[in-house]
Amino acid sequence: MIRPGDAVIALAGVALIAALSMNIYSGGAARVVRVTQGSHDPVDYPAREHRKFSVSGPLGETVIEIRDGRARVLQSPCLRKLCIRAGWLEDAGDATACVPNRVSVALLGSDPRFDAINF
Amino acid sequence: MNAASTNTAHADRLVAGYAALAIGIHILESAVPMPLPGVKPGLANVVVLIVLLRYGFRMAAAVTLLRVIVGSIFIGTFLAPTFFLSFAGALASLAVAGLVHACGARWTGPVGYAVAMAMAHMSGQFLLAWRLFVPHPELLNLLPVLLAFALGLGAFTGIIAASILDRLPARQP
Repeated sequence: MIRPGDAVIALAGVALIAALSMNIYSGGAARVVRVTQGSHDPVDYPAREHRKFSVSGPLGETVIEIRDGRARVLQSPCLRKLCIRAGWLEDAGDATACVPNRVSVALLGSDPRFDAINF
Repeated sequence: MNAASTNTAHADRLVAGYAALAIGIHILESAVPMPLPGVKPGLANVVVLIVLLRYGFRMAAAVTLLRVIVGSIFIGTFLAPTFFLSFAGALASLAVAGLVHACGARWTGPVGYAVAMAMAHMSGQFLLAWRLFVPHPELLNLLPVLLAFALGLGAFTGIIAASILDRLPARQP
């Protein structure tokens, strides 16, 4: 007794749940990328503008790329390359850091999701 | 399916009988513990689905409203928060059932109705709970999980209703 309308309704239900989950569970689009080096003041870059630049720290140059609301660390002089392996940061609230070179990259949205994060 | 041509007393007796069945299931089900608040199999909706597909929307609406009101009186939650949640869910479920009935009754079987009604029921009670009882933004995080439960359990009750409808003898006029 399965009719075509049943499949349409079930698919609409699945689509609704998927759309809602994406809306509710993602941190939202990033507005700015905040780059901090050592004790210098953080510098904000618009997340939508494509740019590639380097930040110099005690070990050397950390290369950061910003593109389409995402950001990543491309090159880093550090030993373990954890910041590079973090890959693209996509949602507001995502962050990575190269601790040896004292560089951190964070995506910020319209409202911060967390005050602070401990590891 | 034509309510006007049905004998009123006969229709009333049918509504009373089906409502009694739905209320019985409703009460039995309220004793079953569930992992999440707001989630339950909704087996009483099997009765509503059968009435809806055999006798039309008006009788299904009567059975649903009787079930919610009389069922809550028996359980002891009449006019308590649970009752309003249940009532909001039932109204949303009926509204969607009416919509499907008016737009696509020819292409839709019990499973489609059950899924649409279960998800509407969940949305209705969730919105009331969220707006009135727990107006906290984080509650929204539960909605996709609850709707996923509604989808699965709705399909389950729809399949039960379909297999019962297959076995029922053809309706006497």
